[in-house]
Amino acid sequence: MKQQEIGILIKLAKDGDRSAFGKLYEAYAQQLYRFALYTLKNTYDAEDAVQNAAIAAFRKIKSLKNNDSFKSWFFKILYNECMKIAGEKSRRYEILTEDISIYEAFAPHKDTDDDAMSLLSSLSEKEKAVVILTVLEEYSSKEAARILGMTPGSVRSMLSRSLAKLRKNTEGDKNE
Amino acid sequence: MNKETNELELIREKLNADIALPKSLSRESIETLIENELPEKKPARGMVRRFVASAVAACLVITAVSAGFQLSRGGNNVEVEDVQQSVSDDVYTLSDYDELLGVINAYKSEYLSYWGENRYYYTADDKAEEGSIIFEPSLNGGVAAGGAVSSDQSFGQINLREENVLEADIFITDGEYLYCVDGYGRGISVIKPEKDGTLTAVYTEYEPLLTDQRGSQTTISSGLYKYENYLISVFTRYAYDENYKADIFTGAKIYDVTDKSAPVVVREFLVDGNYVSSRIVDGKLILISRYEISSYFYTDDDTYFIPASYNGSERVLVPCDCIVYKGDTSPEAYVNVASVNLGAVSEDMSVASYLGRAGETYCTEDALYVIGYEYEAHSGNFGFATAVMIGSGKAVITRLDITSSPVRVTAECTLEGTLLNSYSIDEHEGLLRVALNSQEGNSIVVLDESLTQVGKLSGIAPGEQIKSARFMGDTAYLVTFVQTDPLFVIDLKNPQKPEILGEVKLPGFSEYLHPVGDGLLLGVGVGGTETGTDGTAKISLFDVSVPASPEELDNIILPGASLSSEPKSFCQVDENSFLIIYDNWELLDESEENGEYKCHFFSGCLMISVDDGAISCEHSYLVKGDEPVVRATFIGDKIYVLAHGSAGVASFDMTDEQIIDVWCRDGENGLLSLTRDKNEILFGTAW
Repeated sequence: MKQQEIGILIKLAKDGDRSAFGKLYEAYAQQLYRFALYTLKNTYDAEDAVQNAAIAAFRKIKSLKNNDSFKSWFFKILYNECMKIAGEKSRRYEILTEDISIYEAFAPHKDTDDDAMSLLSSLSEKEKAVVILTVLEEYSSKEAARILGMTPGSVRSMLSRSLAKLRKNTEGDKNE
Repeated sequence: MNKETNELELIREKLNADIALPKSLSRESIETLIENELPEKKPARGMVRRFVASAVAACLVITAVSAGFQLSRGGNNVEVEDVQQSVSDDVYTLSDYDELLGVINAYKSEYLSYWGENRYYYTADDKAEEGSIIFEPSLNGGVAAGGAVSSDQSFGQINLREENVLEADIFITDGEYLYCVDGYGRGISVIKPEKDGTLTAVYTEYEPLLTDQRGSQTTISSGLYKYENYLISVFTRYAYDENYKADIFTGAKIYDVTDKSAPVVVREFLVDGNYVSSRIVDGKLILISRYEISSYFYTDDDTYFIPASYNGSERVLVPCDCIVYKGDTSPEAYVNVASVNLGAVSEDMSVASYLGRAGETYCTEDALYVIGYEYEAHSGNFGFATAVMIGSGKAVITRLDITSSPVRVTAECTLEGTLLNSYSIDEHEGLLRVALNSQEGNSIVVLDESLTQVGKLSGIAPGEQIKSARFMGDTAYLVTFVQTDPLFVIDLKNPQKPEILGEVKLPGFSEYLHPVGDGLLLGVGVGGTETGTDGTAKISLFDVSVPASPEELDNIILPGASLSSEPKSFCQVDENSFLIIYDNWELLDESEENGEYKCHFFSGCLMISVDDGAISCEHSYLVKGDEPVVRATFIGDKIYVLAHGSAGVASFDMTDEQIIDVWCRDGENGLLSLTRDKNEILFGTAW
């Protein structure tokens, strides 16, 4: 989508046009879902995070100052939602039903290449976010820092440590 | 670089898998969701908005782990700003200052009616009595030993708790100069040691002790950092009013020392409260202070109920969304955690605060753990005063994410028992391990990132006190003591079930444990017999390579002496050699003039070597003085020691152990050559 078109859609969305917002969302939906899925490791939480983020983004779009930052702004909202969900995950879940689909929903995503999930398995949620934003989405450390609320230096050193862990993971696989 | 680029390409390729977007996240579904969504309040997660075909949402019950505190959420959603991330609403912020002041004022009324005007109590975190200043070289808190030392290290490094997490100390070197805090925290000096070991102070400043402090201020340094071209002093400042009441601030003074003889103050940062600790991580200076507001309960001014930093003389309140109050603690004090970007010191510091207490701190590259204690108070009336007897305490551990700016409180937990020092807590592979002292039986608790308990081993050596702890990878080493010293080896490979693998019982106990490679641990502490301590100091070499049967391979006993267990006083010279601070003392005759006893210290450091399963005292560098030596370091083939107070700095030749020079602030010889035979001091019978 061209930047000019994005600008027009943002203006319409700021005026409450849901369809315009829907088009904007659609342009990044795949990337947003992939980010959430890698970070949270299951479809149930990832869908929740993306839905929450979309609602929050539509609600807050009037506060977006710079149209060029729309994507990173959306990612920042999504990241916060992922962290909230990750924090809530540490609470205990009591499952009161034997509905098997619940367990399936909590199982790791089956459509994803297993390699990707196991590659990231040794990283914390924050470390995954850093790797996904800088390596996959190719944000600079400065842009990733804005999204994640870190300093660029922290992003760079966290990336370096994460890559060292991934390297160790990969070497471990080779040695098996 | 090519290898790194290829590596990134491989990772990118693996992560770039095509992932099918679920139907619930299609554009149409999202648009419908937004149509239906109520704008004010989000529905509870997972209850309404899913479009998947299962009955998940209706059948799940999510139970919050209470973790010992009430939830008192302030706002609804976290407002995400373009510029900075606000405090997560997983931990609880108040909506505005009025709400915060309402809580504190309500507590203040209760407090004043309970304690009255005459109160007399201590809390475990009080390090200074009101109105007096106490300087202790060990105020910086326990520091973990550093990792492997490169064989080509040419000068002493601070014994760091965590690699890449710098800590301040009172005696540091950059290999060219020595930087020290002397004069009980009042003096800062830059000393140039020449190649022959002679000492020249190229810069020195000193805060004089005033006979009348009213209307004045005093700054007491707790330590220094040498960071790039900056010398940074972290301090507590006391500003006295006409009634000797002091407002207390924590600060960092940043000097540009491009010219060591003429440091230029670039900036000074101040935040409310007493200095607790600090770190430098990833180019950020983190300052931790403890701000007691209960002393302001006796005034009518509630301005000071909200913590603040200072921009010159302007008091800048900590933003309300950066203040956390969990509702489970008496709102008498704040912990302030301030962050300064050392790459841009013209930027203001950012501060986050929480209502609570701070004693020990432990810091990794990502997280700061602050340990405070909550006590049950019991009171009794003694006529004019209400005295408080403090019962057994609970350790409150607060975790903060220090990668964000401002830092963020992310989790908290309360544990039964107390921590000996910051060696008793350790983060490893996402889990936090804590060793807790308790009369009922010491314990090791394992917690996850949200500080929820994962596993626990309790009832370790009931009735004995933990004297030292050390976590290394999947193993914990604990020394407990009442009459003899069991060293326990505890396996943490299964975090749900820590278990004791082996122990060795010995006379005396180690107060500091340091790994020396190849399954060996050096223990520095106190000697003893089967029935208790015997006034000797002891260095032990433990073989812990077989966890089920640890053993003491060798030891050195030093009669009548003490060895410093302050981790920062331990200096690694090379892979097998270490400097350990030693002191012994001689009581002089009672003075005829004033009836006081005086003593002289014979102190300095020992060079201890570990070789082939044995330890030896290779060299000793001792001086005689009015104060004991508290730190030692080296540059090249010279040893340098710092004595307490204003006694000074001495230099020695590393090989022949001869004292070369002494620098002392007031010009008098605070440190002198020995008058006794060294071997008699070290190994002779008690005097």
